[in-house]
Amino acid sequence: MGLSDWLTRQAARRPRPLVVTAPYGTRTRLRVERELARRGWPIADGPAGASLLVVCGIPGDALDKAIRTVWMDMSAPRALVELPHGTDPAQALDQAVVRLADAPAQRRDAAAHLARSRPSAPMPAGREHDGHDGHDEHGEHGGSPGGVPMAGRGPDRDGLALDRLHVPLGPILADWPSGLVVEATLQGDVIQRASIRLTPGFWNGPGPESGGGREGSANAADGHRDSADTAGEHEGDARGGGEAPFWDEPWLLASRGHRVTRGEAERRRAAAHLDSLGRLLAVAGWPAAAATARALRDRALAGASREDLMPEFGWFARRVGRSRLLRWMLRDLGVIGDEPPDTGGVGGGAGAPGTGGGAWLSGGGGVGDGGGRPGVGGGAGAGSSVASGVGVGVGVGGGAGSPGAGGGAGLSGRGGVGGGRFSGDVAARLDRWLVATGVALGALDDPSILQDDRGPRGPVGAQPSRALLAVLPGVLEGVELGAARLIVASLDPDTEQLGALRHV
Amino acid sequence: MSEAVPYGIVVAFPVALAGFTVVAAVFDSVVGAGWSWRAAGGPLREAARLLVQQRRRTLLPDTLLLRAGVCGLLVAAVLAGVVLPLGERPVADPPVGVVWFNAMEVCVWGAIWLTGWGTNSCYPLVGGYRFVAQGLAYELPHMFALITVGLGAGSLRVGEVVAAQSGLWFVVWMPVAFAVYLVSAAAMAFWGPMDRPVGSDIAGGVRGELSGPDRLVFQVGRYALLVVAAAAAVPFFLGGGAGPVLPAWAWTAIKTAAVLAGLIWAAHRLPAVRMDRFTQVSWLVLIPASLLQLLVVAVVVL
Repeated sequence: MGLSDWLTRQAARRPRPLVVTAPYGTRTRLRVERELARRGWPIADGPAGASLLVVCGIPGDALDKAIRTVWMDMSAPRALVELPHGTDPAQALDQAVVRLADAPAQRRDAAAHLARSRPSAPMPAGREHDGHDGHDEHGEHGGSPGGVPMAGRGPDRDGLALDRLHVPLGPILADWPSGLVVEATLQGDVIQRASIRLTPGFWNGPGPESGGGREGSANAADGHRDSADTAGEHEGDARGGGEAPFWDEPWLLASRGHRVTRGEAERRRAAAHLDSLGRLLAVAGWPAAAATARALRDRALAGASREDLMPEFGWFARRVGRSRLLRWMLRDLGVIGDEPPDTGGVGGGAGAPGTGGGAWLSGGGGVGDGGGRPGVGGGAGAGSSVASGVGVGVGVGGGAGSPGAGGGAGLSGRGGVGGGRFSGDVAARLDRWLVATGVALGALDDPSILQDDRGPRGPVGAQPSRALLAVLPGVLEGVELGAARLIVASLDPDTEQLGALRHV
Repeated sequence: MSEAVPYGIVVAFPVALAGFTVVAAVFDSVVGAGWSWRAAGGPLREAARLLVQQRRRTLLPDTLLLRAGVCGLLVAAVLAGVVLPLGERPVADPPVGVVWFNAMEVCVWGAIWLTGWGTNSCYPLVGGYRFVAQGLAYELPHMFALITVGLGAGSLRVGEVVAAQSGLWFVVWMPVAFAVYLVSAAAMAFWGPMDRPVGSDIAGGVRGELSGPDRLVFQVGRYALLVVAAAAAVPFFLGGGAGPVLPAWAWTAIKTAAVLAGLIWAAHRLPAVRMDRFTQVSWLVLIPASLLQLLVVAVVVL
């Protein structure tokens, strides 16, 4: 055992973490990612390659179940790192290293794991098996080998009869919006049909998740907001709780009358875009550029000055912006058109595809609030849509766009997005992020008071992520899996934004 | 060429292959960490981790095919490498050495597909699909590049290919074939911009359910394949062991290291290439270009 103990200790010094982000865990995730980058621990691409499972934030029931499933399947030596809001990731990771290096304990864990997996009772696969590996449903016996039903068949886009696999993408997937699950029907590696849902703890849309948990999480969201209300301190690291949409925080605070400077808000905006860029570049298979984006993001959030950030950002933006290979790969993917919004929209005309912030998504006042209660920052949302002049307002005045109303989820999905800053293809959205980040970094020193609510993804009150999620199934259908990942990453819906809505 | 192979070569070959495989993994880790030499120990710690890690089980795997696939990758890399001269001569120098090399690396197709299929899980299967699509894109230009080499040398024996370059390296008058070879070498080892079969966007793809020793053997096989693909460029295009002052084995090592470093650097410098885009270029640009190169070489040889 001497040798294997020694190997275990050596291995423990360089674990491979798999990071899962729970609702409102973005702040913790950012701290974890910064810490992991500092330690030079490479992120695992899936549960099989991981030895650490890092959970940022407090998962709700469904996400917790998915995490447990992944954890059960992970091979020893392994360690679970749970980071509720406000925990110090460095200390927790250090403790995990100690646990990983404890060879006798890991051997006991491995034996227990082996004993668990020995019995022939099959694991619930597919749908139950949230996330990491929807087992495909092949088997040599008819019926349901291993308790898994055989895959059904159907004509694919070329008219061939192919197996249809029902695979949930997410919620535990690298570089993936937290809590998002795309229920995909795959034929080969092409998505034939897609629908989305969010794990509870976020907004529960008109999906398979049913009412029971909705009340609870709605109340929880309300509670979070109240606590954020009373917490006057909004400097990220100073406040432990952090159960508010992290990227929208400056605008939400400003809308509630707190004093927020434009410079602070632009800092958050730049970091948000850099985070999205990091994800998109990682999914595009360019980890080096993704690492640069994330390093810039971390430095921006840590308070680096404009002079400090600008040269490296300029270098980064040139390299990414000029990569013809990247452009070639991202062109014509996930095109969201500029068609006019659904009838009933107020201030209808579709906006020009803005570059760097001319056109904004805007849902106006009562978006998605069937109950008639105004959404967060609703008034400011309507105001900004008028101010920016490109309002693709839907349901201004409340009620018209209740979240229960079909897939539209409040905003008239396609129209709302098409008229805004998410139109065009993946490459166009990448360019817009690059430009917007540059603009935001340029305004880091602006001491004026933040008065609008144009957050990183559009007017905060209108919750543009809701519209992004609404268009998602449409743009994913008929798309290859890798392209689908790029499309999701290029829209990068902020699922935390949805939780900020008062629920019906 | 027919006398018995000296034992020295038989011993030196695995040592050299193993050495280069470790160096490739270390260099990859260093470049991947932004040229941080702190990351140099990474691959060895990773190997230690995988050695003590439990094997992961999926539901109803086809264990035989899975093991065949995982081990097949390394076996194919080793077998492809035996025809490459380490200095003066290779372990084996059959009259159809170039074809042998090509045939062994086509076995990689089988190895990858078996790994992806045998796991009985969705993402590895998708990774398998991706590699098959990749094979369709790269293999024809790759074969034309190798045929160009054989035509230029008037022989398929690797030793004679090297000898034919004593005056002028093939890279000088077959630059297109060399460029095509480098692209296809990366594709063959599903490396760098061509790494989508094991892409992080599908949770590791083909290797997505491998852990412990399975993953270790797979990773070693992949790096070994990359080394062999880079090393083959030396006898095929870069004059083999020819060079001033230093002995042939040293020049072979230096040239191999240079090609390898280029491939590893490119992997971190470029975003990934998806085959649904690349195949069109491969068939409409690379195949015609390599055929033109073949024509030019044929005219020159005549």
